[in-house]
Amino acid sequence: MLVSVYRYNPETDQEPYMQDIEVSLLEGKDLMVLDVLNLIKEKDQSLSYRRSCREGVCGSDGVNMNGKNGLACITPLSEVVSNGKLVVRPLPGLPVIRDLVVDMAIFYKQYQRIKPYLQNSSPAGSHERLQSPEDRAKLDGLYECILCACCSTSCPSFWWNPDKFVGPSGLLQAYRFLADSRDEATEERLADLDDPFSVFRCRGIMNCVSVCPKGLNPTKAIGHIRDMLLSRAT
Amino acid sequence: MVFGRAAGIFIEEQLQQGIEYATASADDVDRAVGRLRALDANDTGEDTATLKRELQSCMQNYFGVFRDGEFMHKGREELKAMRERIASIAIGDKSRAFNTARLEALELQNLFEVAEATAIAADERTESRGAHSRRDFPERDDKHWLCHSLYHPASKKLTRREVNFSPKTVETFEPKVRTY
Repeated sequence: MLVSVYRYNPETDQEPYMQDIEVSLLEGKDLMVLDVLNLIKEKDQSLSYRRSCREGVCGSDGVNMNGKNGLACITPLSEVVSNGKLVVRPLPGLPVIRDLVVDMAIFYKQYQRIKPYLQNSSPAGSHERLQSPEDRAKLDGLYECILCACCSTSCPSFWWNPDKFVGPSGLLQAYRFLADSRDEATEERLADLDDPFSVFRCRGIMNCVSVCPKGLNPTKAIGHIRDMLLSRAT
Repeated sequence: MVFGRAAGIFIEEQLQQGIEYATASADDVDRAVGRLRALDANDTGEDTATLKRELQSCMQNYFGVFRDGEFMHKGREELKAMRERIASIAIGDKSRAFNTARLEALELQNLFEVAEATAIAADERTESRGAHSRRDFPERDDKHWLCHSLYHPASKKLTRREVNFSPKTVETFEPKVRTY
């Protein structure tokens, strides 16, 4: 199989280039894209990419495979390879540090900005802050995010305004705390998001939904935040 | 999250009260930097992928789910032979920007230390207990082994530490054979 990999080493390369590598695979055996990258790295140690848990939990190996973002470790070749060719590029829209490794600083900055932790100023009791099963169910589809950045880096609005638009990942997390019955900072959270860019740059393109490796729906969460912002304004 | 928070709060308090901690000596720093320099200077060793595969199959074959003294002795011999080879890995990439080849070599060297500790501790504990299941010592042996194993990497020796049977706030589990 022909694998075309994005290569860039800031020490030696003037500019990035695509390297074509022929990888021999066993007939009739499906591999994950990460396995293929590992095979390439055994031959050429200079290929850099992030990887850790190799089972779709840590969110380290988000890459762009034949044009679509996803986690290399849980994407089978049979799902992405077309015409016997696999093209692997770094996540789009973020600065490339080297090869498939991108600088996630601005992504994390947006995450930090939405204060991704429970805020509750009532004094803590002698036991946990309890929640009804119904209230707990409201967090399903929100808390599972692993911060792989596949969604935000597939979003044209985030490409355009990564400094001002929070992005699908950050907004999904923002709603995770807005929807939490134990969180008391709803008003402050909404006030922080109430401007033309933070939330309203979302145009409902839904690339985020189509790439999320955990099957989450950031566009839906953004819709809920919009509702909250609008009903707050009236 | 609960334990992380408790640990964080404890550390902060201790730091404010002037906790005693060991500072790194010049020797420690030299040793750490020396490892990096050795990796960068070496051109003739074997590569990480080959050695990692060998370490994996050694641990899988000789220290897996069901253990046996005879096999573990073989495994320990194999590990002994691997030490020098893993210490002198040659990396195929010596650049400075996000070099994962260097990182993986360091990881394998660390992994080797943990593997050897696991191997020696497993071999020397001549009983079966929980997940440590030996064919040659199938029974649990509270008389000799109701203790923690402490591994000392410099001497490669195993010593014992007592188990605390008088916790302050909860009742102790009675030590006995678990039959499910």
